[in-house]
Amino acid sequence: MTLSTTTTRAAVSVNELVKVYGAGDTAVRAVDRVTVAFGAGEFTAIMGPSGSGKSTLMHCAAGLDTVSAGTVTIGSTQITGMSDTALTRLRRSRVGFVFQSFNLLPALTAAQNIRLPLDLAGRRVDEQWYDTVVDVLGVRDRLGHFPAQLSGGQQQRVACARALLPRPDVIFADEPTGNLDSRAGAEVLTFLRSSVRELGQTVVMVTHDPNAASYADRVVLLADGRLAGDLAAPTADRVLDALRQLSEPTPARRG
Amino acid sequence: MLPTTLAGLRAHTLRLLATALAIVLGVGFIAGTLIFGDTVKGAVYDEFARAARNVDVSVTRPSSARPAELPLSTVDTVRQVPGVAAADGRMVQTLPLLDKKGKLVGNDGRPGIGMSAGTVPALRPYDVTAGRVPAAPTEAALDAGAAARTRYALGDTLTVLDTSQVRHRLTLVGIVSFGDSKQYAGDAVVVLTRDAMTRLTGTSGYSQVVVQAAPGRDQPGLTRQVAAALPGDRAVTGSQYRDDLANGAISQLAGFTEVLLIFAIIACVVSAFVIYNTFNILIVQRMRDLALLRCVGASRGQLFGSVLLESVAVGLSGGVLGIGLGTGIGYALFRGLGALGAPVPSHAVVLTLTPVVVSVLVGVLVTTASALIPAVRATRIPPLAALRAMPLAAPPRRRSVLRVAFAVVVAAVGTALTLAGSRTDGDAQTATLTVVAGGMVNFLAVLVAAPLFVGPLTAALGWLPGRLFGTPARLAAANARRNPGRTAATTAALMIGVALMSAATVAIATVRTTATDQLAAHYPVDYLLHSGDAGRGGGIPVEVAKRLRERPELDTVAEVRVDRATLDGTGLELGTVDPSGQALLTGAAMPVVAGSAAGLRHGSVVLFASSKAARGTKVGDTVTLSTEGGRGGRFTVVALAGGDSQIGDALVDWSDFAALHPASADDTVLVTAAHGVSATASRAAVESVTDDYPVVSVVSLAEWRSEINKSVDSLIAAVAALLAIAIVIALIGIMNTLSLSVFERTRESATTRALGLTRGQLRATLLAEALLMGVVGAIVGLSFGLLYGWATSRVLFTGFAAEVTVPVGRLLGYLAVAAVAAVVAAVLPARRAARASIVAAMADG
Repeated sequence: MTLSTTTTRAAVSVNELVKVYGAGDTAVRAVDRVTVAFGAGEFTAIMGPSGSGKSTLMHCAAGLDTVSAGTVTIGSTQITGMSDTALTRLRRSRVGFVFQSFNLLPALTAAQNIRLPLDLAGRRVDEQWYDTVVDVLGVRDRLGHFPAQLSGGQQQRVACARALLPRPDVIFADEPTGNLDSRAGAEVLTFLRSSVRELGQTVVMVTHDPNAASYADRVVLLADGRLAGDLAAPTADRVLDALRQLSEPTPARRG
Repeated sequence: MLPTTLAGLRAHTLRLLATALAIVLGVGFIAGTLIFGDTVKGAVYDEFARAARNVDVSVTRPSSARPAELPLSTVDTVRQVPGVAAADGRMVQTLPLLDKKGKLVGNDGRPGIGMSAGTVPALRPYDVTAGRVPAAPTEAALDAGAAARTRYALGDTLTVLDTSQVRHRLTLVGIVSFGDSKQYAGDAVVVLTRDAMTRLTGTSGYSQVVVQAAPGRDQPGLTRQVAAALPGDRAVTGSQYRDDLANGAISQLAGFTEVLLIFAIIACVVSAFVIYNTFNILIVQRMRDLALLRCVGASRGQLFGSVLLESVAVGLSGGVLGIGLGTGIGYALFRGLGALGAPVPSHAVVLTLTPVVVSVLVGVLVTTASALIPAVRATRIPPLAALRAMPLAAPPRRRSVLRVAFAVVVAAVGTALTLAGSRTDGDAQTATLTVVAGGMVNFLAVLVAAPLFVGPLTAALGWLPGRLFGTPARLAAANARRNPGRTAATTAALMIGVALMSAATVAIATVRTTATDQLAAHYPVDYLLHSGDAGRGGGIPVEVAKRLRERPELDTVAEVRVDRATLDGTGLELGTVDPSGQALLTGAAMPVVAGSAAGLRHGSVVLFASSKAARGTKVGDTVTLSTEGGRGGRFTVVALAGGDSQIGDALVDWSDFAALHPASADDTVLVTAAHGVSATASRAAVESVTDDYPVVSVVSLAEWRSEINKSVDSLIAAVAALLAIAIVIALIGIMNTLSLSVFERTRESATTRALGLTRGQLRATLLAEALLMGVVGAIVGLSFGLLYGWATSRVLFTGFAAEVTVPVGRLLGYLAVAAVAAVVAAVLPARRAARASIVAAMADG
């Protein structure tokens, strides 16, 4: 499989990654010898039909899950084989997350949620950067609220601020618009794109929505655990076409 | 609906078992107490089989009758009654026995017992195991236990003391056994002929006459005939006699069993809190399942029934397991009692139907009652909840105004009761009960208000650790605060246990201080001499004081005498002290309420306010004192003394007492050592005199104080041990709540792990949460216990000038134990949470 031609260095690179669930007859190769690099300062979308292994690829790349074989490198640090504690420390400062169901801690206010990763790392918050992030995301008047008092879109924007504040090497976004209406979804996607273009952030997003993928600089397609395509400067139509082609040769799909 | 409920029970077996554990402990405690009581009763009934052997009718004299004993002619009268096959009189009296070294063979200061041999072998309460029954006045038999302890053997010469402390020598001709009976456990029983009994103990009658019926004669009929022949005496059937004996022995234990039951009920109340809480959380967790059931057509009633059925199953299994635990507890208590030397023979465990029924009933009732509110809550779940992506716990409804109002009303009632109790001038018991009732009502107010103050309290307590230990501690505080209702219910169980424990500790510690203070006040002396033979009115021979005064090592030797008298028609104990000791007793040490005790001289009297005779009497009044002997006179009240008297209800001058009771012996002799004499030397001086008087026991005040301290410490330990069960149940509650919270927060935990919380930090977060809950519960309980321990002690010891003592170290110890135990309870849930894989936990959401 060929790598996309990128002029920038890789923020995350995955080499010959294999992830097997189960053993023996019931073993499932969720990710099968995938090699891919996500460029720094780039907005990449990982796409594929259900069961294509896109979420597993992201989990492994983010160090949330262990790999069966292959290596994952974030920046210049190889994270495969690291201890759980070392991985956790790395996640605190160098990886940001945005989840489909926001995953804010209900017991903490929006401000406390935003600062949580830095608090955990024991790092000082750069107040100027904090103000910038809060203003860009438009959550300043919601900082004292608890998640239960916020709308879905507001919660996801708080989650984005939480991911951005430590200035991580990479932000992984797992279906960030899955639980939002189209308007709130568009807001979040616009924000993710502008954080890449204007703030130089790296974002890797898993999605099954071609429209969401069209906000990215590049789309990596997955099918049956293998790389199945790589589109630069995608539009919703091109992504849709590529997906349609994917589903034709392999009618049987794992769930 | 039933299959669904059963499937639910199967699916949640482990969790429900953890819930059942709380009820198992509570029920086990109750069952154990009941089984213990039954076993003791069974043992005691067997024990008295021998004393009542062959006895068909038993005749005794009512305690009010004079003379106190049945005349010797009673046996002849009874023998005349048709249907009587045999009758015999039993004499039982105090008889001091000396060991081979000439020391009294005592049992806790009590001397031995003399018993007549009896003339009818079938009606003897003992078996002869060696030798024979004494036949001559110089012969005696000894019970096997005493023989073993004193190493007296057949043919040896025994020494006993008569009422004038004169030694008499008897030949040991037999060893007798009372079988398993511990009726006379520890007491040395000397069996004598009737003549020897009369000569040595001065008794002139029988304490009991026993009758054997002729074959075919029924007990009740014969008893009626015997009673008719002996008007004024009390005749009962043999089986009634046996019951009376057994009940008499049990009555001492009945109090103990009642106390145990109170603690058992406390344990059950704590269990109820734990069960209520667990069911509540279970309902919240299964909201989606329950809503789905509603979607597919289950009615509210069916859901209610299903939850209730589940609680019945839990209660039933808890009750059944509780019986098993209770049998163990009952047996352990019984064995423990025997090991402590209580007069209980060995016996197999008695398991009657009552504990079984009670256990199952209590288990089921407590559990279902606790599950009622959660069950109602289950019916309120809208079917739509099944369709929501993530059914969140309903946001806490704002009912705080109602809650505050209710708590305030309840607290007002409790406080009013408490104040009323504190102000009562009447008897201490009513006042104490009123204060305790006020305390219970106020505690209810605390429980009602708990959800309101537990949150802020947790935040305040979590502030410092949050500063010190950073985010995990702050997360813990936030988590503990997020559901104040749940935290309050969880910690309530702990509050009850800790409150009772600290209140009891304060009260008992106050008893100790008061007792030692009283000791110092009433006996500002070094040694106290008592008679081990006071029961016979013997007292301490006057020569003892005379000889003690000759010893240069001793300073004051004061004789105290106490005897009966009547004051204006009311009977009382009249006391006096010889002039050398008057300053000791009536000086600064005497807690005078009114007047001055220093004015005690010829013709005056000091009354103790606690005595009945002192009611309505004022300083300056004139009262009449008289004795049975017909002597009497008029006295002026010069002072009223507070506190509990150790020297009778009234105190008169030595010469006045001598005029009222010319032939009295000393009741107590108070001795102080001369200045500069060591404790060993003064003790030796006292004992050099008392060694010649075996029945006189010497108590050193220092030893007495240490004994009081020891017994108070063991009392506190016993109360703590009994309440420990309630605390253990409370900890099961904390464990349950935390493991369910962990389950509820699986996603959140995964999120924080993804965001950079290490496994260790996640564990620390949960442990800190448990610690906060434990400390909050303990602090509230401790504060409450302190307040009511103080209030109760104050009224309990009205008039004792009691200094309420707060054993700070011990109370802080309880706090530490509660905190550590709460953390221990969180270890398992914390481990489970930390082990979960992040990805799997997120997918679960």
